[in-house]
Amino acid sequence: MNVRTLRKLLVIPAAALTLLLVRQALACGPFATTARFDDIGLPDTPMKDFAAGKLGIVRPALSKENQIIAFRHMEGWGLDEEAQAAVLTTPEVDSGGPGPEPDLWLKARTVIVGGEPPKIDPFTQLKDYNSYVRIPAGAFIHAAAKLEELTKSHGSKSPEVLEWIKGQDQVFASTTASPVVPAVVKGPEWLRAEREYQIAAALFYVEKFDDARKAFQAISLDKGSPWQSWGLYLQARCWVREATLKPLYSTAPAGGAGDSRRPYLQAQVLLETALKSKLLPEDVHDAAENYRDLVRHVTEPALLRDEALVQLSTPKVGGGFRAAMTRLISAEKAAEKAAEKTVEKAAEKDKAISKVHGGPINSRAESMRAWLDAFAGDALQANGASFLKEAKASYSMLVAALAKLPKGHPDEKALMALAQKVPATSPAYPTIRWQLIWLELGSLPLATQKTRLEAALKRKDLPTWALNRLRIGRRSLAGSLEEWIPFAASIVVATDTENELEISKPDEKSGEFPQFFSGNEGNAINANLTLDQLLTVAKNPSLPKSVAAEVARCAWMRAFVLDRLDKAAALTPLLEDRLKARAQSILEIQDPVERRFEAVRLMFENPGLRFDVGTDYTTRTNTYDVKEFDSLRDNWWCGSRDDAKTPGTGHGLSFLKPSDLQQATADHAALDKIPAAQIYFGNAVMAFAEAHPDDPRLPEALHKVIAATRSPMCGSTEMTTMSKRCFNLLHKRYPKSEWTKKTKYYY
Amino acid sequence: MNVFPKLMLWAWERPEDLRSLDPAKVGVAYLCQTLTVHGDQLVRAPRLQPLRIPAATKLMAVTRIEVDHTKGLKPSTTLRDQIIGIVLHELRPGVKGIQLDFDAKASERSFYADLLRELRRRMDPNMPLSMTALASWALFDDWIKGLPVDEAVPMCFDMGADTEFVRRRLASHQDFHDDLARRATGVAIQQPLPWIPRGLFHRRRVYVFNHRPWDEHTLHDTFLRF
Repeated sequence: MNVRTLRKLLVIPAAALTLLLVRQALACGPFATTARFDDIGLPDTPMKDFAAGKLGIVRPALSKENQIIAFRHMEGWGLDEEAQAAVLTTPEVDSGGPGPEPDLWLKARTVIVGGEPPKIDPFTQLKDYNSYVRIPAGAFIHAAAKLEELTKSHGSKSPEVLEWIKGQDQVFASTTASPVVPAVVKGPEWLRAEREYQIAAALFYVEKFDDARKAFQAISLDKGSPWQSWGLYLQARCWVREATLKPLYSTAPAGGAGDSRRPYLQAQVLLETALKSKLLPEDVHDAAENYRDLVRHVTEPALLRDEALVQLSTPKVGGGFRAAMTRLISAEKAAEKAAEKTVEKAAEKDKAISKVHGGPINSRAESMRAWLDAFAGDALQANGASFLKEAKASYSMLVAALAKLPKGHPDEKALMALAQKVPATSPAYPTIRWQLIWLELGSLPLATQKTRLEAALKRKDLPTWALNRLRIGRRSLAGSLEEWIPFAASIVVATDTENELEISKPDEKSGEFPQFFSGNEGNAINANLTLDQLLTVAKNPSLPKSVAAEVARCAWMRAFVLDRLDKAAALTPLLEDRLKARAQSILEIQDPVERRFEAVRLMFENPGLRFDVGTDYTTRTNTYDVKEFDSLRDNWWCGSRDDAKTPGTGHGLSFLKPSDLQQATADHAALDKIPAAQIYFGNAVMAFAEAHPDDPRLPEALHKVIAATRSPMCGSTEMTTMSKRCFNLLHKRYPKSEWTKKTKYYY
Repeated sequence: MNVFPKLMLWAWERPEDLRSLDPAKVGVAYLCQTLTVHGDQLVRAPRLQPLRIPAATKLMAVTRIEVDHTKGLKPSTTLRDQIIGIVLHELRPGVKGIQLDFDAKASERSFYADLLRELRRRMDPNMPLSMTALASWALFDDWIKGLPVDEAVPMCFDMGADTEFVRRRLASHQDFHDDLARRATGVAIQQPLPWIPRGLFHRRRVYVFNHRPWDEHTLHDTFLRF
């Protein structure tokens, strides 16, 4: 583990507290938005409310930070205002090395010395095809600030200032491959002191750590140096950098000659001395504190973890709450890793540390630790402890016991009895009430289960993921399509664009959340339902209008291309108004060639028309706006159908009759014979052109077939051939048409 | 490109230990650095995580180029030369090839093409030059035609909205347009393998991406699968 990794442990982005997740540098795109219908692990209430104790349903999917907050409230400890405010701040994320900071320094020095600025590479190559940050961003910022200070004091033309710049250039240009240490200079006292510092820094950057330590030690004893207060801190930096450039872990006993913690122990002493001296400038003091925490992740992670637990469980935690949570998580990981790597077992190590530092953690911290282990882990099951005994200890332990209780456990009834007594004023109440829904369900008759779930679905206080969970439960109990339909669609909990989540909001007018068919339900509908059944779905008033309209459109398209005009006619009233009249008039056309031609013209204007309802949530289906042409080519349909659309492949519609599945199979076989949309369009238009060569609608139609072939969902040579046929006909038969002029190419 | 095996693993910005792979049969394309363009300024972020490989491994250095779209890319020969200078300067001993990974927008293609031409001119003529390509470039576009690269690797994973289109296209036996894009294919092990025409598979180089760190088990599986 190197310094950079350790530093990252201290500034872990709290992904559950913000919606920003780190992007992977993948070579892909464009990025599509997909829907999340599941529990995304965020609090059910706005973070401000959550931090204040309105917990919603507490579950293991929540981040550890949020579990800690929830625990405090369920225990009745609350969270003070400063701690709440700290929870709401966004932590800084380590960006991984200097960005524009070297330019800051280069511009500052070039203004004075002119000429071409020297090249600076702040990274040093390591042997495993990687690099480390040799010169951090702060060094350039401090150098620029120091230059400004010196020019103000001594003038930009001062030879000493120029000498200082020369030395600083050498410091930044110096590498292990080409080490350049500035020379000692004679001159005014300030220059001597600054040069001593530059020499020490250069030695540090070229990894001559013994020499650098000695140089910084001399500075720490030099009362004439403006860097004196930094000396101890920088000696510590030498130890740590030296250590992190070597393998970290050793199997040698702690404190022994081979102990890889030794340099960190040295660093820790120096840092603690520096911090106690109270001489460090404020920004360096903060950096030194962070550095000391970093070091303690190596030297005493278990103690660091316990201190964080103690801090997190004090009555008034204050503004350090968030940092303490981050420290707990990172120290826990470090303690686990250290326990894996060292000879001593973790428990013995803990004892040793406790003995040195004065005793076990207090009972509040211990109860927090016990709960976190029980709720998120398997401590309750693994210990074989009575769930009931743990649950009686506190509401938080009751929540943990209910969450982990295996089905049919002997403690179940007693736990439910305890749960039913939790007052509505308790922060644990929403969680326990949710848990009871599922516990109670198992013992009820089927009809009562259905009623209970339907009653729960009507609650206004439940979050979207919970409503979806209830819908899944209710769907699984359906004995018929009519019973299944009202619960078929799922609420969009959030949208996910390359790991950036946006939480769903209800529509301002209707107050309803967007709903779609998730993959499973959409595929179930697409694969297993006959046209009559699709009609039943589309007609059901409990489906959101947009969802029902989508089913109606897809069913109408299927019916039309399969020449099942009676079914198409039955579906036409269910289409949205914009399509209804056109669809009706199409069906009234007696000539099948013209009827198909007119239908194709309708499809040109509505590229979202297709045979299958959208599953999940894509660029196309998120608005169900079928008239928009999708620039990512999600238009019309392809000529092949995949396995998801094979009838009878499960999808949970066990109530369907074999005769229905047979019909659905026959429908799919027929749909499989329908070519890709562009070929279908071309065939229809060419057939009409042959029958009605003088029809004025033809030039535009031919043009649109060609246009459609340019951005197909799935191209083919047949498509290119069709395009060429249409092109030739257009140019040959309608040379003067404006549409012909617009159609210069067939590809 | 014959110096590289037909199976290449992408090693991205995370600690990777690939010492169990057989260097005679598997090569590694490792992320060497990311260059981010902010207008006309360039910020370099080298690889900070270790990569451990057997000594005889055929190694390709990948440079990823990103653009801060709040500032855009201001094309210039200075910027172009800066990028080329860094790419060439950062070649470690033993690296046998260069790959550029840049999802260039339409407005950035001219710059990218110029960059590739100049890079090709300045690098060792015997050293292969590879580029990644969005699958859509190789199916619905022809802008990579004639670029001075030895291969353009269509990345048939994480394609977002293009996923279905590419999958169906390949499933209907429609290969990528350009010859450059028929020399290699990029896949990800956590995603369904795109259909690759029979017979062509054995000639085509396959680059494999892992969304998680490689381990012995996954390496073994990948080798068997490909």
